[in-house]
Amino acid sequence: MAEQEETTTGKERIIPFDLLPDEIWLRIFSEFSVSTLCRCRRVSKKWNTLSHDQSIWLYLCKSILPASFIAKMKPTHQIEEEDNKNDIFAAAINKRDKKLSNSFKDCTSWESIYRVYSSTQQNWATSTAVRVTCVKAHDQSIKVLKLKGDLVVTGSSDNYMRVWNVRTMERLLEIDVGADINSVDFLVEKDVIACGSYYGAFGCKFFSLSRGKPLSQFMENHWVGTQCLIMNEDHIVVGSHNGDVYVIAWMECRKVAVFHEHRNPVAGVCLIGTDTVLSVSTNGTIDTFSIKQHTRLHQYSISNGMSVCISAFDELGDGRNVMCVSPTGTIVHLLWPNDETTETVDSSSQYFQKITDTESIHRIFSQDPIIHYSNDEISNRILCAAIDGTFNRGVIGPCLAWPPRGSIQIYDFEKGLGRLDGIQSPNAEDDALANCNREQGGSGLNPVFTALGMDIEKVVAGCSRGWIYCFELVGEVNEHKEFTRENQSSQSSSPLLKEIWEEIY
Amino acid sequence: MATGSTSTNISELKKIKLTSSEGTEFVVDKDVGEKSILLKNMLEDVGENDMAIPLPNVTGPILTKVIEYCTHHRDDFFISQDDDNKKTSDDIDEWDSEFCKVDQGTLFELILAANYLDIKPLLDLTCKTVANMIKGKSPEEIRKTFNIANDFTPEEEIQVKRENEWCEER
Repeated sequence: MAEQEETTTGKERIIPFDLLPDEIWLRIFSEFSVSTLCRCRRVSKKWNTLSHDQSIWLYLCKSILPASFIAKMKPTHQIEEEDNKNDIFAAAINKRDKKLSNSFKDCTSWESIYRVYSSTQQNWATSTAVRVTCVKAHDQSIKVLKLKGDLVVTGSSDNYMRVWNVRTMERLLEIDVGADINSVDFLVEKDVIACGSYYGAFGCKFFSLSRGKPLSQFMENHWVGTQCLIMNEDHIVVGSHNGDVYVIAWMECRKVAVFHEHRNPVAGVCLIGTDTVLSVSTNGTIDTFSIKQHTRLHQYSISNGMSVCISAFDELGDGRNVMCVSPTGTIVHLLWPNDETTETVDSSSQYFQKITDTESIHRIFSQDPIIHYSNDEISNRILCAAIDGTFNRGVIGPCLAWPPRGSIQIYDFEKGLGRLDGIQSPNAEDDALANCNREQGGSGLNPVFTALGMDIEKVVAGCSRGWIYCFELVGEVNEHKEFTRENQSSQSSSPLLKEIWEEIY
Repeated sequence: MATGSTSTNISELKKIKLTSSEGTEFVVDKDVGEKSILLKNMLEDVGENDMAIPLPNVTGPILTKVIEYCTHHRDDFFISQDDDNKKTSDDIDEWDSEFCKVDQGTLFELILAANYLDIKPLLDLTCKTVANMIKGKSPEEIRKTFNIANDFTPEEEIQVKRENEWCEER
């Protein structure tokens, strides 16, 4: 070791701490909080370099983020290549303005992931949107909206189904379905969109997601019309008006199973793993079924005879989180605990552990869920809801709550289902949102939100006048203000705004 | 100091010899010496041997401290700590914190010795002690404490400060 001191004793000798090997300094730095670490950057050039080390930031990320999230998150430079594979819309999505978006996907280091995450959490906690964009998506009310990543599929009373990139608000595809659809789902990797309608004769139709071309249609004589549907690689599950739950192998349009347990319309269905179906009936019973065994696994009734008008599922997770909303505005959050994870110390991990094997899923859903009721009732009717199981949040859209500022309510399940403020944007005046407010509130009845989708970064809302809004909560609010100013100075950078103005006048 | 029930095992009572950089010979119990992964591996490679192991990078006073630490913790099960559940720097136990009340020179050498001898818990302890010396200090105070020269130009300093404002406010 070359770092040995030259004089052995003596009070005035200088201790060459700076000569400690880098790995020792990294070990010391890994003890620091983020604020201490950042302060250390101002000490010297060497410390500045050391405190940017990926290992320290990965360690810090691990301290605040669930392991499953860490596993999925890799700073972009590491995964760029595979990212572009298999994604038919990759090109369109990559066109989006990197500068404006501050998504997790764009992070190039663990430090930026940490930074984006901590400010995003702050934004969710304060219901602050960093960026609000909108587009007139349909001529009439948006009935259904499905969000997956940057893609959103909307269905409207105007008989069209459209596919959007919600970051750029660019329309990618339009399909004239010829009917008022009320349910939709899609799989990017299988290049398919499925949709259903109130009208029994519509059946269940499938289209190509990339070209819009009709693929097939499932029909049955006694079909009474669809309430909700969800699909995975093998099956599509359809909940109907009369309470029947159909399981269809969608590739061959072959009926696999029908469950007749519900007497009331189905409020929502969810596919968990490959074999388990969870369905919520409007009378407040929740059933789980096994597709292969053609049997019901469990039935659970929400107490107090509460009826359910909307249910929201976390499809990206494993379906253990469900949110139900009653017509009177009571919100209930149900969680099926994964008892196998009790050994882990982290209390929040029970939400994040994704289970995949059928047996464990059956076991988990063969018991009653943990149930939380919201503290307070929303006096207005709630028209739509969505949840995100990764970070345990839900959003609801109450009726008669306009303008959009402050109208969508965010719920944080971990903090005991507390009611939070509606989503706000400090930059609303600069945004397309302000213009839309003017347009929407201008005459006649106030429009309301009729469809919602959410993930860890954003909330997408469709409204009764055919607009879709994207509230992005990811990233830092301050940065956005700078970007907005830049945008205003250059004429070409906000085509969206221009378009909207042209449409209004 | 607990020598307790484990010492009935005869193999653990074996002694090993160590020589510090000044040539002073130290005789320690084998189980104490084996807290150092370096020594443990060395002993495994060399096998039964009466030769003293030379430690040219460790001075006598420091080796004394290291032996004191290893003797105190001789019955602790030194698991290779998983980085994920590493203890925070706040929970240093009383004996350990007394042990680290030494001058900076000793602390510096203890870190190097722990690193060289590969004694993870001692390295963790000493690094935490240094970390605690840094926490809550301004950059200027840190420079003073560790005698580090500020090699930023004033412009660079302002830039670095600005870049890192985001975490200061939280």
